[in-house]
This record gives sequence, structure tokens and C-alpha cells, in this order.
Amino acid sequence: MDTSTSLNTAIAFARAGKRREAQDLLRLIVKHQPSNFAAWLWLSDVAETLDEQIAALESALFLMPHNPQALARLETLYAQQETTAKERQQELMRTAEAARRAGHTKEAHGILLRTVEEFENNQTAWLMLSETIDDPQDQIAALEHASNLSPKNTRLKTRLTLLKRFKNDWLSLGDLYRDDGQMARAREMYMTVAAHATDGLERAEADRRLAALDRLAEIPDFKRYDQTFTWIRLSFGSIALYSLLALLFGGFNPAQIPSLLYAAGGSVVLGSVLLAGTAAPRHIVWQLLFGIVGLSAPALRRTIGLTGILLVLAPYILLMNMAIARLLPNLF
Amino acid sequence: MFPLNDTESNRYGNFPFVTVTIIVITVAIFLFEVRLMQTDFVKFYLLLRSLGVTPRAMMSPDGWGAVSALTSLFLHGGWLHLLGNMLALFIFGRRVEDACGAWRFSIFYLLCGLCGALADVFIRRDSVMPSLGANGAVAGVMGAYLILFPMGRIRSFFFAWFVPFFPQVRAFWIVGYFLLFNILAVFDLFYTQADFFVGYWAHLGGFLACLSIFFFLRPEAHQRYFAKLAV
Repeated sequence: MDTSTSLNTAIAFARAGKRREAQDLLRLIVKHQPSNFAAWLWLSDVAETLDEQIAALESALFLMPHNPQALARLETLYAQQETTAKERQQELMRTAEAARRAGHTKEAHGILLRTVEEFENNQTAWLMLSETIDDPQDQIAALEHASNLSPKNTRLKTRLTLLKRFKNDWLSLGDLYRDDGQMARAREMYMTVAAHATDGLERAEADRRLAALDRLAEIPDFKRYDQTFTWIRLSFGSIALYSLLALLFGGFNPAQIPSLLYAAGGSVVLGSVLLAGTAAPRHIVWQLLFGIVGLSAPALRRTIGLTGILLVLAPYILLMNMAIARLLPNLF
Repeated sequence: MFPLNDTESNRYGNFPFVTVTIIVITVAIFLFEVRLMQTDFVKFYLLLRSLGVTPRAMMSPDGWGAVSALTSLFLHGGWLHLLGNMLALFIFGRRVEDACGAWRFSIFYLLCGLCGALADVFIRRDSVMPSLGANGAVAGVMGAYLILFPMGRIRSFFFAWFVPFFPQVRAFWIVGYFLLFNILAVFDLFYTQADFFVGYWAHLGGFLACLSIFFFLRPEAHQRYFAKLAV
């Protein structure tokens, strides 16, 4: 094969706009003479796909690493490839999101699988994929991929740990999904428990959570409240009541309130905070105290709640006892 | 026109344990009062003076205000007084308790009663006449009902030409009328300086305290309220 004649013919084809013929001939040339720099350069020009163009140019640069023309062109091609990849990713993600919103979870799942196959570093795709998978074990795998991509994402890490912890406790798993806004999945968990529970209490609990989930589903754009807000809000009642009663005991004069009742007020505050805190079981404070699952364990939650009740009730009893002691001499 | 019952059902499906308990206890205590009144009137009077809200005793640092502000919620001055309060509590308390949960509702009830008593005490601070009844607490519950379920349908009863009718009236008409009536009555008393036997100020104090209902709602109900959904 006369490579220089063939190369000239290929160049002529390329210049005449006959890309297909030029491509075939150039491929043949580089097959027989892989060290032909000009042939690689021309092939990178006429190749159809961006990946092929880049591959040809990389081969040319392997032969002449400092060729400025080839280097400049490769840089342009890389930039073009990046833009194309970004656009494709965006397109895939948009399609997946649309399918998911329309309730076509299987279709969304397929698209997301394709996305993560093509773009392994797409964290959002891994996260979305985890939401379209039914099996908790596979969800954990998808989330682990996402977590590896940004190891500092503590929220993701927490979610992963909770999922691992609750993978066999479907009621808690349902709660986890509910808190993440994955209502359909939470419902599935509760329904499974309700259908298979051998224990009547467990079934009743699953039914109760299902009913609560239905009510939540009625709220458009449901977004769970910040747990700190719930915690503070619910602490108010018993503290306010105690303060008023103590003020009454002192005849509306704070200086007349015995110091014991002031001290007991601390117990009311602490008890109310503990009691209200059971409504925010995965608050950061609980997680710092009891690990990542916070107050999710029912026994721990009950213990904290009971402690809260006792701490609230004791000062009330003390105050009433002192007030009754004053009242008795005047009664009858 | 008398309101009879709330025609709408509970959203959270809870039995109104606290409402029923309060009614039972209050009625039992009232029966005890009646019995005591028949057997020993002096003791009966002393009981009311000690366990009712007596402003002068409450304002005193040696008083027993903390007890009597709570005990007065369970004492009533007559059958009509008792029936009026308990009927209102039965009608309006059920769904408010459902939206709060039992424990929080009981604290809310006591807090409204206390605020009602305080309003009453501040107005009649030199009086030695005890005031009785769950007026402030019930007014607080009614106010909370108005905030949470303004469009609630209350089955009511009235006679027109000796024919009984049972229409369903929107809650805002009934509670709104009650509130307006109390405000007018208070203005009237303020200008005439007349002595009064109805705890209008306690009603208004309770009504004011009902604004604290947002601290007592269960998280879900709180969220529904601010999402402009029926609580």
C-alpha cells in the first residue's frame, strides 16, 4: 500500500466533503502505518464522534507530543466533550425527574441506572437512584456511592447510617422515609408491617402511622418542620402554667415566691424540655447524646419521656402541697 | 338558640378522654356541693370561699391562690352554670383535644382557666366574693375552637312558634356571638359600675389565653393549620 498516495486521496476526499470515504481510507492507513502523524491528524478531523476524534488526536500527540496545532485542537475537543457530557447528564436527570414525578418509578430507575453507568461521579444521580430502589440493601449501596463522592456530607452520612441501622426495622425505616419526604416508600413499609405483623400492637401501630401519613400527604409541598422549632414550641405549656401558679403563690409578687419554688422551676423547665424532646427524636442534641439514631429506640424514648413527666410533676406537687398547707387552716 | 353538639368527627381519631374526665369530675364535685349545701350551709359557704377565686385572698402573699385558681375550675354556683359550661366544653372541647392530644389539652385547659381567674382577680382585686366555675377555661377552649375550626358545624336547637328546629350553625357565629356579648357586657359594666354575677372578665381572660393554642397543637395539626388545611 502506497500510504502517501492514499493519504493524498483521503485528504482530497476530506476536502471534497466526502467524510465517509476519507474516514475509511484514513483508518486503513493508520492500521498499516500507526506512526503516520498526518493520517491521525486528518482522521481526528473527519471522525464522526467526539470520542473518536479525541482518540485520533491523542494517538497523533503520542507521536509528536509538542505539536502546538494538535494540542490546541485537543483542548478544544476536551472542552466540547465536557459540555456535551454535561448536557447529556442534565438531559438524563431531567427525564428521570420527570418520570419520577409522574409516578413512573421503574422508568426513572432505568434512566438513572444508565446515568450512573455513564457518569459514575454524578452524586445526584446516585441519590435519586437510591430513592427509586425498593430493597434497602441496594439503597445502602447507592447511598454509599453517593457518600464516597462527597465524604464530608454529614447529612448523607447520617442518612446512610440510619438506613443501615433500620434496614430490618420496617416501622422505623418507614419513619425515616417519611422524614425524607418519600411518602410512597414510607407507606409501603407501614403497609408491609400491617400486613405481616403477628403482633396486634405492632399492626395497630402500623395502621396508626399509615393514617398519619395519609393526613400528611394532604399537605401540599409537605416539608417537615425544623425539630428545634417543635421542641421549643411544645416545651412552653407546662413552664407557663407553673410560672403562673408560682406567681399566684407569691400573691403576684415575685419576691414572695420561696426560693425552693424557683429551684423547682428549673426542674419544670428541664422536664418540659425532655418531654417535648421526645417529639423530635432525631434532633442533633439527641444524636450527640445517644448516637446517630437519637431517641429512635422506643425504650429510650419512653424512659426520657417518663423522666420528663416526673421532673415536671414533682415541682407541681410541691407547689400544690405548699399551697394546700396554707389553705388548710382557713378551710372550714 | 342552644348549641347541642359538634357534627364533625375527630381527625386524629382520639377519644376525648380529658374532656370527658373533666366533665365527670366537675359534675361529681357539683353533686358533692349540692349535698353539702343541704346538710351544712356554713361549711358549704366556707368551702366556696376557700376553693373559689377570692380576689383579696389571692392578692395576699399568704393566700392560697395557687390552689383556689385551679379548684375553682371545678366548682359551680348552680345547675344552669354547670350545664352551660359543661355543654360548651363537651361541644367545643372534643376536637380541640383531638388536635392537641390529651396531655397538652389538659395543660391548655388549666392555663386558660388560670388566665381567666387572673383577669377576674385584677378587675375585682378588693372583692371578698368568691367566683366559681370553669368559665375562663371553657372560653379558652371555645376561642381555640374558633381559631382552629371557624367553619365547624354546630348542631343547635331553637323554638320558632313552638316548633323545634335543629339547624347546623357555623362555629364562628356561635363563638363570635359569645365573644361579642362578653365584650359588650364588659363595656356596660365598666360604664355603669354595676355589680355583676357573671364572670365576663374571666371569659375574656380565657379568650385571650386561647391564643396560646399554637403552643399546644400536635406537630401535625400545627403544620396543617399553617398549610391552610382543616386542622
